Formats: sequence, structure tokens, C-alpha cells
Amino acid sequence: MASTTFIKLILVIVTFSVIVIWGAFGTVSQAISTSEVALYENEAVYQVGQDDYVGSETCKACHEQQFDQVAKTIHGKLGELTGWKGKVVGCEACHGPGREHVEGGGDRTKIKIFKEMDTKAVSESCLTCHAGRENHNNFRRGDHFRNNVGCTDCHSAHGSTFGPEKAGSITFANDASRDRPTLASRAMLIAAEPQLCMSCHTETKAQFSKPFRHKVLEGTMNCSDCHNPHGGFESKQTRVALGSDQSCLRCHTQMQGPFAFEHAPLKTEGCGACHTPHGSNNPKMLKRSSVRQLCLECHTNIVNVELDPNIPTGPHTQTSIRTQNCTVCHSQIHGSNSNKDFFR
Amino acid sequence: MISIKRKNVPLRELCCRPAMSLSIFVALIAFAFSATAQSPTPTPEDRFTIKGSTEIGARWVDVEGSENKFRSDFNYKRGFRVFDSGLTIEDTSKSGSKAFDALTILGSGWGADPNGYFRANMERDGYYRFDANVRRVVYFNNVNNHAVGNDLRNLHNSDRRRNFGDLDLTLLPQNPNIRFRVGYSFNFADGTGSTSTRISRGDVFPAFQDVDYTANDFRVGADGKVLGFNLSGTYGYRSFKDRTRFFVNNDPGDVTTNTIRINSMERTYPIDGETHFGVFSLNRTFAKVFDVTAKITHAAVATDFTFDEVVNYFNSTNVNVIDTYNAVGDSKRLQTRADLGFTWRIADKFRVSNTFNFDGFNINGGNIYQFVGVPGSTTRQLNYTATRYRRYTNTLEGDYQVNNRFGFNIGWRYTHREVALGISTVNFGTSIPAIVPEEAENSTHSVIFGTKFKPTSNWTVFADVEAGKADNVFTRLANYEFANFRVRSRTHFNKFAVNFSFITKDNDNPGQSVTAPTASFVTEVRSRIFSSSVDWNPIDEVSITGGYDYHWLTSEVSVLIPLGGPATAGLSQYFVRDNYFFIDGSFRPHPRVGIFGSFRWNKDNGANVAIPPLGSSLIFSEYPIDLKMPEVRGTFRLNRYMDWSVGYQYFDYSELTPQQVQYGIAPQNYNAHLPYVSLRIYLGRAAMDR
Repeated sequence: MASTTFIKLILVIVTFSVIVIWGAFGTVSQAISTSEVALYENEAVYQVGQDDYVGSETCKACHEQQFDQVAKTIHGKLGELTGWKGKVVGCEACHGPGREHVEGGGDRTKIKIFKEMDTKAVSESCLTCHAGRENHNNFRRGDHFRNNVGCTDCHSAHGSTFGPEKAGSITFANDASRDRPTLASRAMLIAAEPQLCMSCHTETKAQFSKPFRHKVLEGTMNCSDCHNPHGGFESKQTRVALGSDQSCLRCHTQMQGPFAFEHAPLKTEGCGACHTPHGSNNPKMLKRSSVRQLCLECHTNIVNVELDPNIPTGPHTQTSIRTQNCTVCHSQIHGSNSNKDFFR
Repeated sequence: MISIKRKNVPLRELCCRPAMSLSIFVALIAFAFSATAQSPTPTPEDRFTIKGSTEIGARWVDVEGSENKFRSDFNYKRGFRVFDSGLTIEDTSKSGSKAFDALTILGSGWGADPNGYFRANMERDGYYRFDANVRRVVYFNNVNNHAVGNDLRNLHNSDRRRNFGDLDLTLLPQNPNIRFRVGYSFNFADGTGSTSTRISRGDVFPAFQDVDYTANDFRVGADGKVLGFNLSGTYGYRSFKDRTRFFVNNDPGDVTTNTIRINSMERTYPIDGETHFGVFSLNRTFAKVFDVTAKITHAAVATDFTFDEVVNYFNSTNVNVIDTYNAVGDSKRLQTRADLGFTWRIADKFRVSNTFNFDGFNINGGNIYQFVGVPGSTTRQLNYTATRYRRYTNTLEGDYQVNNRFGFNIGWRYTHREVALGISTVNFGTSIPAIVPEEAENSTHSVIFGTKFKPTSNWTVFADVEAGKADNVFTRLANYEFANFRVRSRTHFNKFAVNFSFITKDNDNPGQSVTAPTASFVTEVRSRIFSSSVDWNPIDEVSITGGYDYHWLTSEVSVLIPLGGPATAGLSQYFVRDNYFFIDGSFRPHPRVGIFGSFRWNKDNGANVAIPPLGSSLIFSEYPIDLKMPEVRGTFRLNRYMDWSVGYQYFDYSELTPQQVQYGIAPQNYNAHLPYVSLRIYLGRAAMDR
């Protein structure tokens, strides 16, 4: 039954895809701006001086500050690299051909000005080159793009600029500054993690300040250790470890299993079924302060069909503190190789 | 108090040791100094541009109150440490044989701090990029209100050190046609801790641990472009093993009024495992209007294990007994994920996207198990388990950008899930019957709507809502019927940046109890989070950041609770009423003086609900805390190359949980004083530009 459903779904999607592809190559493409001529992104067809491209050195005449800033970044150095010779690089790779802009004395209507574009249009410009990398190739279907958070909300295509050094905490990671190097400048971010992410996701700062937490504010972990800010196929843009495992198992290797006796929700629901991954007042970052709540709220309704389908399995009498702490006996709760009740 | 037992350090761990990291830092500092010393004032002819600083110092720690809780929360110790340090070296020459264009090294927390990291990025444009991220975490956990036995002893605690790191090399990183990747990751943990064990239902005992588990990951891959398609392939391998030893020596158990006590227990539980996985993805954008990405992943994970335990104990009739447990077996998991997504830009302002995901795995495991109790009492069993999981998800959405100030998206998500669990246990020597699995499946739908609008050019509002059913085939904790709403506002004017957000999450899971199928049996979880922050930078010399968060959560779940007899219908309640306030300020009243002040306050007041008596069918929990973290610091510029800092940090923590009240367990309050002093040394251009 399930395999039939799966096959049907695949057929529907393939059919829909064929229709869409046919439509995309057909009359619909005429709706696209006439300036986008290349069949593939970044097709090597334009040379400096040909057609409408004038070269970045021409831009420098009026935009010297931006030119000098970009020249220090990989964006500015691409033309020197093998594989990029003859391709459009530099200012016009993003802002479009500049000949009409120059001949119009700086006519703003003849050049792409990103401040005046909507977020998705800005991102499309970046994706012209950056879409192919595995880290980025699902950006258009990620939560950020869906919610109109684009590339330039986190990155600066001209290169990072940071303010002066200022006194900061000895314990928690400080803002990036021009006087102290960070990896933010290597990725051309407008701020370093975690401050960059927390500028929007403000509620996470409180979560990472709780007693039991991942050490993000201390700088030991970054948001991007667990989340892919460029999207991906997982919910909440989480990363996968080892190809298919949830990102927690990248570090918490002892929970990976597989075990002879699995605690099934760990694999089907994920670690988030019981734990709060950012931070919690509760020990072990559990979702409940009392362990028995966590167990009872599921096991009240679960039966053991081998014993009796009419009687729920689960808790012993809840009149002693020991039986209220289920994992005192069921200690190998993440999975056991020796005992089906996780006693050992 | 559990102490760390230091073992002989294998070679593999040397890179993570503070002394080794410090040595690397000192060498780099010496190099940077020599390069700087040769030319105090950089000239265009200087080949290396160096910028960086390192901060070294000492922290004093004095804890009043529960040191175990302080260590469980923060674990700072007295002593020398390397604080926030970083170095960038750029080779500005045009030489074709230079080793790198830029080298960036960051580090912090090495020495007396529980969390340290070392990050490096070295690259030569067009040739290679090398990234390293090495971390060490000392994890201490010993609290009195988790995993507590009848004698109120905490049975689960940890004092372990984990060293883990990722090293990745990409060849030809900017090449649009072909790139190669190779990577290695390690994850080593050792130390001590305790878990718990039992002989029968009569007693539980702390089982001490010598923790030892390791994992080594290798991966190779390539990315490239073929016939217009962006292709990426990766093969990965993990080898992991667990050699943790468990033991008990002379323990009476958590019930001291009976005769059950353990003389000795020794358990070895070696596990060896391997993971092989492959990932292949392709992406292409057709005519800049149709983007498609497909990805397939297959992973095979297998473990082999043995289990040997010998327990020498006195039973309930004061007879000395020796029990032995043995098991040998293996387990395998095969998992496949397939994802297909496309986006069709129908018009400049209108897009349609569809994402299809498949995730399926089978886990099959088993063991041969033998238990020998009193003489003549032997149990031998064959155990076999099977877990099967399939999930299909399809998300269809469209978004329309009305103009530069307003856009919205709408979508629909369908998920179908199937789970089957089976277990078979037979006595050794009998044939294994076919497993009759317990199966569950469901199909769920949810809708998505989101918008972004800009009322003014400097004010942006995001809002999105998702509602429907999702996840949760047979558990009751996660989403089922849910409605999540989120709104964020970002605005900046003059020198202010002001952010607000409000998030609501409503989850319901109406269910039935098998013993009372007509009774209402509900799960209701309501969460509300308000968050705000203000940044003010009127001048370069002044910076103030502050904010306030409030998290309100109420969870009510119907449960069945045995209270010495048949299970009684009851209610499980959980509350969060958490306030978080912070303010950070940096001032530079004089070019040579910098001042930093910070105050962070986390306070959960609890729901102000009467704590039910012991034996009640109402289970009630919350975790009221009051945690204040002020910090002040003064930084004084000694000269171009050095700043001297002195500071003080204070932690004030108090708590009172319902369980502590009910059982008379002392709250784990503490005050911690952490004065510190440090020297920041500036290198290269960072010094020249000061």
C-alpha cells in the first residue's frame, strides 16, 4: 500500500515537473527581463569591452571607495583565477552591464541598485553564481528565502566592514571589530555569529542564557553548527550529520546506535521529542522539569500488544521518588543492546 | 565529589591539549612579532600584513553555596587562560609560490575554562581552502533533583572531557567547473560519571563510569558542473567505539532498611560501529527561471557489541548471590533519503515552489542473552527487534512580490508517516517466530502563510503562520494539531536599531486512553514568546544594547497514574514563566580607557500555583530560578601593543522547585565571584592602527 502511494506521488510530481519545464522553456520565458540573456547562470559569453560591459576599472572612476573595498575580497580577485577568465566578474557581475550607466553620466535607471530591489530579486542576483554549491542549492526553498530574508541581510558583497574595537565581556563572544580578526570577514558577513543571527532571532539569546544550554553565547558553538542558514531540505533548516542523521549526532556520537533495543521516538521524532536544543532551566535540557512527565505523557497511551492490548504499559506506582524518576531504573533510555526495558 | 582521572594521553589528543594549542599560539605570536619588529611601520613592500591580538590572563573563582550546581551551570575554575584571541596574516605578494593568501586563527577558552575553541582558516585563492574547528568541552553535571533514588542521592552525574574537531580541505574552491573536498572529524570523550543500575525492583545503585568513547569521521567529495548541471557527490565513513566501564563497590542501594546491597559489580560493554554514507545532489537553473535541486542519500550503520556483567550482592533474604549477564549481538540501520525541489519563477514577482522529501530506514538488531542467577537458574534468550519508518512530505508554495515594500507567500504541506515496531524474544534453542509488528501511520496537512512588508524604508515587518497537523505518529509530546504564529519587526533610525518579535505556538493532541476510550484525553501546550532588543550607538565611543524577553508556556496533558492501585486518571502540568533582561554598555571616556558593563537577569517566577501533595493524581512541575550575571571590566591602554584589563563577574543563582519542596531537598543556590585580570597584546597592523 505504502509503496503504491509512493509511486503515485512520484508520478504526479514527475508529470507536473515535465509540464512546468515545458512551460518554462516556452512562451513564459518572454515574461523575464530582456537583460537576462544567458541560457545558464554565469555562461562565459561576455568579455570586457564587448557589448554593454565596461569593466570594473571604469567603475572605479566614480566609485573608488567601493572598488577598493571589493578589490580586497574574493569577488574582486575572481578575474585573476583560472576558470574565471573571460567571464563577467567584478562590479558588473552583480550590478549588470555598465555601458549605458556610464554613457548616461551615471544614470541610476541603467544599472542595478540593490537598495531599491526587493529581497528576492537581490538574492536571484547572488544565486546566479552561488546557486550550484551544495550548501546553497536549496536556498530558494528554505525558510529564509520564503520569509524574504535574502543574501544581503547577512552578507555584504563588497566585503565586511566592522566598527572599532570596544571593551567587551570576558565570558561571552563579542561583536566583530575591525581590530580583531574573525571568520566573519572570510564569509563576508555583516556581523559575526551569534550576534548576526540574534539580530533577528532575538528570542534565542534568552534561551542560550539558561543554566543548561549549548555554549553558543560563549563562542564554543555557532548557530551554523546545527543550522544551515542557506536552507536545505530539513525543517528549521537543520543540518544532517553523516548524510542522514539529525545534526545532534555529529557531536553526541554515543547516542547514534543503532541499538538492539531502540527507543523508537529517538529515531522517528528526533532528539527534540524530549530535549530543548537551545537551552532550558531543566537538567539535561529536557522539555519537562520532572522526568516522569516526559515519560508519562507518551506512555500513558501506549500498550504492549504482546502482554495485553487493553492495558497501558508504563509507570509503576508514583508514590516514591524513585519511581517518579523513571531513568533511575530505565537508565539506558537512548537505547540498549542488552535489555528491552533499557535497564542495562 | 567525582574527580577527573587523567590517563596517558594518546597522540591523537595532543592537538586538543591546552599546552599544545598555547604553543602554537606562542609560535605564531613570535612569528608575528618578528615580522612586525623588522618593520615597525608597514610599507607597501612588506609582504605580510598581520593583524591580530591575543588576550591572556587569569581568573579567580570563589563559590559560596552549591558548588556542584555552579559547576553544572558554568564550571569556571581558577587559573590561567587564553581569552578571546585572533590573528590574520595576509600574504600580499604576487609570488606564484606563496603558501597562502590569508591565514586566520581564532581561539578562546583554553586553560582554566570549561569551553575552548581553536578555529583556523587558511586559503590561497584559486588553489585551496583549509578550515579547522577544534573544540574542547569539560562537561560537569551533578544536580540533586534529577535521577534521584529513594535516599535522595543523585545517581546520574558526569565529569567528562570531550575533544572534537572538524578539518576540511577544499581544492580549487573558486573553480566553477570542478572542486574537490576531503575532511576528517574526531570526537573523543573520557572522564568519569555515574549512571544507575538495579538488581530487582527493590533497590537501585549508582553505577560509576570510566567514560571512553571515540569516533573518527572521514569524507571525500567532489563538486562540478557537467552539461550545465551542478553536481555534488560525497562519500563518508565513521568508525566509532565505546569502551566505557561500569562498576559498583560496596553500596547499600537507595533503600538502606533492607538487606539488599552490592559488594561489587563490574560491567564491560564494548561497542564497535561503522557508518558508510553517500550523498549525491544535482542542481540546475534553466533560463534563469526554473531551478531544480535533487539529492539522494544512503547510509548504512552497523554496530557489534558484547555485554558482560558480574554482580556480587546480598539479596532480600541476606543470601550472597553472584549474578552474571552476558549478551552478544549486532544491529544494523539502512537509511535512504531522497529530496527533490524546484522553483519556477513564472514572472519577475511570482514564484511557485515544490519540495518533495522521502525518508525511510530499517533498523534490525538482536542479541543472544544469558542470565545466570542462583545456581541452576539460567536464562538464555534470543532477542530480535525491527523498526521500520517511512515519511513522505510534499510542500507546495507560491510567493508573490507585490512591490519592493510588500510580498507574501502561501503554501501547503502534506506528510505521510508509517512506523512499525516489532520485537521477538524466545528461549535459546527454539525457533524464532515471525515478528508481528505494532504499526501506526497517519497523514497530515498544514498550511503556511507569510508576509514581509516595509511600512517605511527603515522599518521591516515579517509575519508568518503555519497551522495544521504534523509529525507525531504515536508520541504525544511533539506537534500534532498545531498553530504557530510569528511576527518580527526590525527598524533603525538615527543611531538606534529596535527589534521586536512575538511568537505563539499552540499544540493539541486529542487522544484516547485504551482503558477509557470515551473519556476526553487531551494534550494542550500553549507557548508565547515576546522578545525585544535595542541597540544604540550614538558615537564610536558609546554603545548600549539591551533587551527583554518573556516566555510563557503552559502544558496540560491527561495521563494515567498508578498510586498504589489501578491507574488513576490524572493531569500532568508544566509551566514556564521566564523573564530575561539584559543590558550591555561599552564606553570609551578617554582614548586610553575603555569600560564595559553588563547585566543579565534570568528569572522564572513559576506559575504561582499551589504545589499538589505527594500521592496526588496531579503531576505538576516548573523550574523557578533567579539568575543574575553582572559583569564590569576596565581596559587601560598601556601602549600601542598592550592593553591591561581588570574585571569582575558575579553569578547569583537561586531556585526552588516543587520537587524540592515536596521532598525537602535543599535548593542548589550559589553565589560565585569571578574577578579576572588580563593582558591583550596587539600584533601587526592592529597595533599600528591604534
